[in-house]
Amino acid sequence: MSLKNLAFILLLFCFVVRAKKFTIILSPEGDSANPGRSLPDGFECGFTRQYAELLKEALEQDETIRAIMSHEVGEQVSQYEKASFANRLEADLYISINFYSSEKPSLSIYYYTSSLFEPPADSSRLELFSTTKAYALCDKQTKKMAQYWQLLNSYQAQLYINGPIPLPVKQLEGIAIPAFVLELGAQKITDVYRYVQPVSEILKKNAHEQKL
Amino acid sequence: MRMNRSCKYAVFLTIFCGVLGFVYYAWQQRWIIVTIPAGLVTKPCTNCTKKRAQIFYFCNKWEHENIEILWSENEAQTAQQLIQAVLLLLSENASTKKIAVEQVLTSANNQQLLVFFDKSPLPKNVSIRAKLMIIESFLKTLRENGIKAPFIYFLVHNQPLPDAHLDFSLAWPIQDFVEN
Repeated sequence: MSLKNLAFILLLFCFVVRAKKFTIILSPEGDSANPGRSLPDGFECGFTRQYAELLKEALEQDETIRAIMSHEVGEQVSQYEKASFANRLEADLYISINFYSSEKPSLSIYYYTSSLFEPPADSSRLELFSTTKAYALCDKQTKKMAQYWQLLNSYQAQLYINGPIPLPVKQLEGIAIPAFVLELGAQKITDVYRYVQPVSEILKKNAHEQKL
Repeated sequence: MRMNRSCKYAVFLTIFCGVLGFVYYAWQQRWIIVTIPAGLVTKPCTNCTKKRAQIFYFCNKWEHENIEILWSENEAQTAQQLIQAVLLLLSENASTKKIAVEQVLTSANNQQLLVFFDKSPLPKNVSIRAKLMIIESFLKTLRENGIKAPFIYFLVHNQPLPDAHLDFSLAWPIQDFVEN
């Protein structure tokens, strides 16, 4: 191989490495078959879809970030399909978006754990790696990323921040990449706008830190 | 005439088998749920003493009330009364529907407590945090009153408690997992 070819391959490699974007999967909870919780201004699925679209737009203003929806409007996907999609895509982050009826603006963050929730396994027995333990493959990375949500404290005056709390939440079961549940309080559909700026800011900071 | 009689039997047998099949299918699909009335399964409290218990519940902040319950040597019986007391306080404060604890059992190794409700104590439309606080009310009450089983399973009709957000197919630790 000539020196010229080698230099070209090296240049191409550097370009590919540089071009790899920080991929975030946004999962708006609810669909036509399962619209989720009822809020004064409609069902949860309408709020989550609207917010996910806005968040995607805000995130993609940063050229180093790629935001993908876990499913499109009208599609019905199970949790296992979402988990399989996220794991096969080897995305960097998975965000499950949830809304509930609340007069106060509030944002709660959860990440998956089952370590406290299962009786100690008998180590003499062979066991299959269940979906409730998939999180363990990226536990350290998730905990590291969880620290970034502390930066939301600067929004304490506008939002009631809760978490991040480790819990066995069904929305994250089976996901083997860092994943978080965001649960946001709203009354009207226009309330979703107030969460775009704080969350996109944290996710952008997170993406830049991970790329360094 | 004889033909008619056998024909009648055949029709009767067909209808009977059809009804039996439908009832069996409905039972399998859980359209029909058979439960023994609570009064028939409640064992008389043996070696019971009246004692004060602290019942905890979350209503914007942790609150507690002291009530008298029949304390039994059997941990499961005591746990049933404690959880029922929490449910009563929660329904008084949130004016929600009445929910009963059908039964509480301990596993063979005394490591797990199985709590059977008649319906889910978690409202559908509330936040994960609110649901968490209801569960923590049960756990805190059990913990503070000296129940020793380290893990609790929450069930409704012999199935893990159905919820859209929290996974009850796992045993919940009695220790303060929110702090952990």
